[in-house]
Amino acid sequence: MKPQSQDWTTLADLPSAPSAGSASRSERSAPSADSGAASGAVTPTAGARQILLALPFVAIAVFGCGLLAAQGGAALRGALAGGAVLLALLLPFTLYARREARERFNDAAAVRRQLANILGSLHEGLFLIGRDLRLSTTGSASMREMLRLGTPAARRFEDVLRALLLDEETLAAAVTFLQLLWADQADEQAIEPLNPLSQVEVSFANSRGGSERRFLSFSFRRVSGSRPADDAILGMVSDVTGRVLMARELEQAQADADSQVDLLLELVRADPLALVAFLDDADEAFRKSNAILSASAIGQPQLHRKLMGVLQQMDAITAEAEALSIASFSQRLRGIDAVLTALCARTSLIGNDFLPAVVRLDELMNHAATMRSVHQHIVLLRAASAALAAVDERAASRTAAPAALGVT
Amino acid sequence: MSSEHQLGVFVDSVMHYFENAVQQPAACGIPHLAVRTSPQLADYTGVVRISGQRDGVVVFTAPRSMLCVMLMCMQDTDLSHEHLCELVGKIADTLSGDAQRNFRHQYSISVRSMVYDRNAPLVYPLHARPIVIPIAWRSYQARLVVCLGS
Repeated sequence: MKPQSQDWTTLADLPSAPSAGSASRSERSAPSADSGAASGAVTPTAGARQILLALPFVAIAVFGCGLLAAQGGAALRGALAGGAVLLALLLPFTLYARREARERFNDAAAVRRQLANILGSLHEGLFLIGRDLRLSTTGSASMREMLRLGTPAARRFEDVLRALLLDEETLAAAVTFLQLLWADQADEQAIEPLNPLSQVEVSFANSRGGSERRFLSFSFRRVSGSRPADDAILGMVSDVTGRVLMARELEQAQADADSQVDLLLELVRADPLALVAFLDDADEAFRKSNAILSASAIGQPQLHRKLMGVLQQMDAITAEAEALSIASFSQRLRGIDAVLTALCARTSLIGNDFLPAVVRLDELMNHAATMRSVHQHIVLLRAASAALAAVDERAASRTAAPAALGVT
Repeated sequence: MSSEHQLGVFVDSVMHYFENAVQQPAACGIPHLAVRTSPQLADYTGVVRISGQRDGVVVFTAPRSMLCVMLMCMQDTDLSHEHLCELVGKIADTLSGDAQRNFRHQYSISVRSMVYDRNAPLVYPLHARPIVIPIAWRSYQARLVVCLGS
């Protein structure tokens, strides 16, 4: 049995389908100097083979003896006796050789099963790239799932990337990077930071005509085999969409926290009556937009009409927000405006395409509600401070009046 | 994780179920918000509750007629109440499974529950507006409702 701690490349080099032939092939192969463990494993079988090779000669000798005995008179009995001795001699060696072959076959199958289990249970996508930049047959199941590849074997890695990447520059940089990694004089550590695929946005087309955006992280390492032909680049890919989106959300949350102060200043400075009127108008525009979206629509023209209707509502509110210099609102309105304008430019629309617009509409409604709530607090605070000021003024006038009377 | 991405996962989950289990794709309608009102429920409703970074609820609700035709498409002739419940439960399980797979670090996903009453009061997170996504399949209309609080 081969040691299980050997490197992945060597494991992968095992034939994929276990067969009796594979065991005999490994027996036939001459033990090389660079595979000490393997040659050690072959030795007992080689001994058995030598014994087996010697057996026919022994058998012939025994059979000859039988024949000689037969010339003495009992021809048939002698031949049978010789044959029986031959069989009796052959049987233990045949059984031994068969058991050896079966054990080797079972060991190889166990290694193959372990490899398949490892590759099947890995969360990361593992794959091998040859010198011709083609994918090898070995790869983890999650790699096929992550890259949405049915049969990755022998496919050019460049072609796989071309279908995923959003721009040609990254593709060209990735190919150059892999070629650089293959260069014998290249320092792997030095070129690692140049990896253009360390975090990359990819797009997968789905069966409904839309596309799904994901973020993948690729890393590459050159692995050396026992022979130069076994050299490969070990690629690893993981889906980092959650991490990237979380980081973006955190950035957004930080930006929102910063903008809370700005919002407060905006509300304090704004004319209260104009602000309330604007919030009422915004509320109505959002409701109208939502009503437009919820109304039934069949066919592309009606979907585009919906978009135009929502866009008109948003444009009216944007103009009002800019006139009142409410930057936090204008910024969000520009966001939904960009989404709607991009959708208008598309010739074919499906329901899924409206999801970003609805999410932004929800955010706008939340923001309007926050503004109204903060504004109400400001109004209450102003009223309270005015009342306090009036009480102070009255108290001051009460204390000032007797003093004035005393003077007169 | 952005709301947009989360919604996309749930929509894809339902679409995937139709494509694979029923062998006939459904179409996602135009999503909208349920403002100041709870979304209407159909005859059978599967509910998945979510807690963690954001608390919320994901609901798949479908009329009886649609579920019957779905079962027939799946070569199933048992159209009993229990069997229809099981079908909606399976869809809710699919939603729950996909949510577990995609948001396991952010959320804990509850075991799905079932509602058979159109007027059953579903508890949505306070101050959150449910997003209603119509799911059209053949001539039938189901709804996916996603409501995640802040």
